[in-house]
Amino acid sequence: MTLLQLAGVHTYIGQFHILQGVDMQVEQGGVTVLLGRNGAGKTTTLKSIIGLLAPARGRVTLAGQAINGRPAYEVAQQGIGYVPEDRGVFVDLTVAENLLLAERRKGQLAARKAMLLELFPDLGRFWHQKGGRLSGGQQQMLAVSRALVPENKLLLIDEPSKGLAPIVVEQLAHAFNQLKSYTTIVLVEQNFWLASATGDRYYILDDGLTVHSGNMPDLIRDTELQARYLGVAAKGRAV
Amino acid sequence: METPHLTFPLLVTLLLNGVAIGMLYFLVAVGLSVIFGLMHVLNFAHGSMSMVGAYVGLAVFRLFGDPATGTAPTWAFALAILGGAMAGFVLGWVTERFLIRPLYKRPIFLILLTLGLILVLDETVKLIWGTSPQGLVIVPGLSGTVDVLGQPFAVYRIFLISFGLLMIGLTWYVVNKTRIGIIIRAGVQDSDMVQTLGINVRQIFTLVFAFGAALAAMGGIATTPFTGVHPAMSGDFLLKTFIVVVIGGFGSTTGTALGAICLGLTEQFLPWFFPRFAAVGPVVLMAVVLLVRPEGLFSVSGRRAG
Amino acid sequence: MMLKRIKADRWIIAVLLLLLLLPLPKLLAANGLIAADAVNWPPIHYLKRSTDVFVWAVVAVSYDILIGFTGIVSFGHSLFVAVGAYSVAIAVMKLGLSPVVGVLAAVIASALISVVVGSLSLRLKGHYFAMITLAFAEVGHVLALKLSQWTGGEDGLSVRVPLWLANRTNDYYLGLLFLAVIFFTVRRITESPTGRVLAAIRENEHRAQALGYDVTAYKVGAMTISGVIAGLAGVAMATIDTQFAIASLATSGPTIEVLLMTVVGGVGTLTGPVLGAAMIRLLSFALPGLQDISPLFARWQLFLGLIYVGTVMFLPDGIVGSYRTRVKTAFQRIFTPG
Repeated sequence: MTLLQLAGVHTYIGQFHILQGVDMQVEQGGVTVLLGRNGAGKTTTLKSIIGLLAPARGRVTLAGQAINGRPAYEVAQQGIGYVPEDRGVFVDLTVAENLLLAERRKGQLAARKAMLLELFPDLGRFWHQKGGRLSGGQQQMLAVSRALVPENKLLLIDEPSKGLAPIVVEQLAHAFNQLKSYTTIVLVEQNFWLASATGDRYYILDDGLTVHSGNMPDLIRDTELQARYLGVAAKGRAV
Repeated sequence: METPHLTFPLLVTLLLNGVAIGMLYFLVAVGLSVIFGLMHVLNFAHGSMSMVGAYVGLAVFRLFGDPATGTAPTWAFALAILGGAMAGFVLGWVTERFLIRPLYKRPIFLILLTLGLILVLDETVKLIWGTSPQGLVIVPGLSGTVDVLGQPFAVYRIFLISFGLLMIGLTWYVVNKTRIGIIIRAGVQDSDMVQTLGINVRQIFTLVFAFGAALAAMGGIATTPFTGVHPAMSGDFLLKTFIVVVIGGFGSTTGTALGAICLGLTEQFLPWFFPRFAAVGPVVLMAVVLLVRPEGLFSVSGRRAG
Repeated sequence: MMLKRIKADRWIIAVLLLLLLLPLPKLLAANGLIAADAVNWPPIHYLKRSTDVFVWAVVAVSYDILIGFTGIVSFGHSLFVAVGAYSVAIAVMKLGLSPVVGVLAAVIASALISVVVGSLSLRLKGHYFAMITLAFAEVGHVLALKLSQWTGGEDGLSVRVPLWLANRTNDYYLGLLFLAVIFFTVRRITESPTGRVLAAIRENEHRAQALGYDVTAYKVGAMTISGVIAGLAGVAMATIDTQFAIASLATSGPTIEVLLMTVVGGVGTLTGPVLGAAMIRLLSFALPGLQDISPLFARWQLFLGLIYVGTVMFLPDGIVGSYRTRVKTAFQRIFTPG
């Protein structure tokens, strides 16, 4: 079943025409990786889905329902969790408060706490610390956990590996693979190791257009395609 | 100039006076501080909203009062505070919802808008109540003095300190212990991110603006037993608010409380040392803080919230 | 080039000519060319109010350098008007010097204060800058009140001007000349390479910085030019307009009125602020006169407030700005194929 669909999405930031007709189809379950060079429009695509940017043209549908042009909070309430590139951790809030904020119904965090701690055991130790005191990796775990507090059909995760130590990236890969049975993930990732270790399907964006898509194993084999669109990043096979 | 010796009892009186006035400043300023922290709107009409509260409060007070003496029972004063606060709430709600909301993307125009609102509100007040001062509000139940270390101390100031502490406690509780408070603190850092968690931040903006104006209005009516009610209040309030918020740091309720008490004390003590230029002292203090430590004197990490 | 310029400026030139011709009968009479008692047009209050408009138009033009061409919103601009007015008032009334010395003193004082205020406050951005300029203006206000042996305290200082300046016709022509000189000078500045750097700063400060421009120095420069012009306007106020220097000039009140003039007319257009100054000043003369019709007009500033809010909400480019965009889009519509 198609969970998320983008059809001919055009998005401007100021006067810049960033997305110039993005088409994408994300099936329920699994991890879809969005790849492409810096400035290809990956982050803008996520922002256009969650509603932080309003597409000027095109359609975004979630489970058949149009969500483009709706304010971000309404889109999120449809069941989308968003983890931005800068992680969006509230530095003056404790870990617990950061997570509580994501509740859409009272008691959701309590119901989910055990699962989150199993996924990221570190969180428990920092439960009452301020978000600003956490390391980058811990912040990333908090940000992903926060998207898991409500029952989200879809997670949008923007470059989780950025600036993190290899060991933390491995932990994230493990977590994403575990989450597959629970939700659908759209992952923007420059780190090809993390992309290939977790991805089921891929889309490649270039200059604001979707130029390639397919199953991840095919991309892993196709070094020519990797070199053409992913440049240097693709060479970083292992971390 | 001959100045009496600064004795210990006098020192205590000045301290208490400073804290009492500081409570007023907290009420007036806290809304502006949180509104700026959360929405990045510097509301120049904040002082005017305070003044509207004072005038509406006075009108309520007079409904139950004796026009000959200008007095009314204590409960009428409580109603006046409530009435003024309600007027402030409605004013703040309407302002945010219909005037400010369309302009969030254009910060300079937000400043201009609130400047225009100063004229509209101040002139409307003068149109309804005239330009002359309205005389002091006298609440017999809260008048008189008590003895503090041999010095007379006004009962009303004791009331102010208690009421102020109560309101500081309430705001602290709301900001630190409730879900709305978590949303406000998060929104001060990044309101877009709060939205993506499924929270309608705009609604919170309206609410915060309305409550901020309501608190300012309360501060307005609470000053009236000292200063009476007059059209120059709005400008006074605005400047004092800016000073408090700059000293305390934008967006922080605790900082605002400390900044307010700081200004109250400065105003009490400065005339003892620099009688001629006491009036300019607080403004100079504000300028210095802006230049040296624009995030406020009481912020720990340069972050402002909580 | 020259012809093109004149053609583009035909409205400005027409208005200037009209303004030059209007009080001609008075001018001729004053010089004995026609019988003085035969002339009672234009009435004296027309001359007075026009002079007042000219002076405030200069203040508005100087403010446009800041808000329109550099992108700074200052709340302390009228401080410089006060500095100019007091400089000439103190020179003439307290020190018994010639008004010319007063003008020089005004230029020097407003330049110095602009540089000091500018270099201190321009390190701050946006709202913080707005607030510190407010603080400086308030300091100026309190000083003007407290240094009463020089400033006359709350009463202000009335300036006894030489006889030739006590003549309203002369004041009118001086005011008009003053406005014309300042207007064209400021336009020259904004169209110069320096003006283009300022525009670049307004559009994107970081990019201007990255291009190697000393952004703060340019801003301080803009504030100094603007401050000196405002200081000169203060001189004009104290000599040909109200002939008075008063502490309240330094408060944010007059600045807010000047801001309104600039915004209503059109930020960054120069002609807009002049038009705005004329509108707002004339309204503030005319509206109180309507009190007989309705007591509402006693509170005429309420209308200024409504104009303010209305302009911000519905006409953000101001009158001249919107007119220009309209003409431009009309042209685009005509010349865009399809």
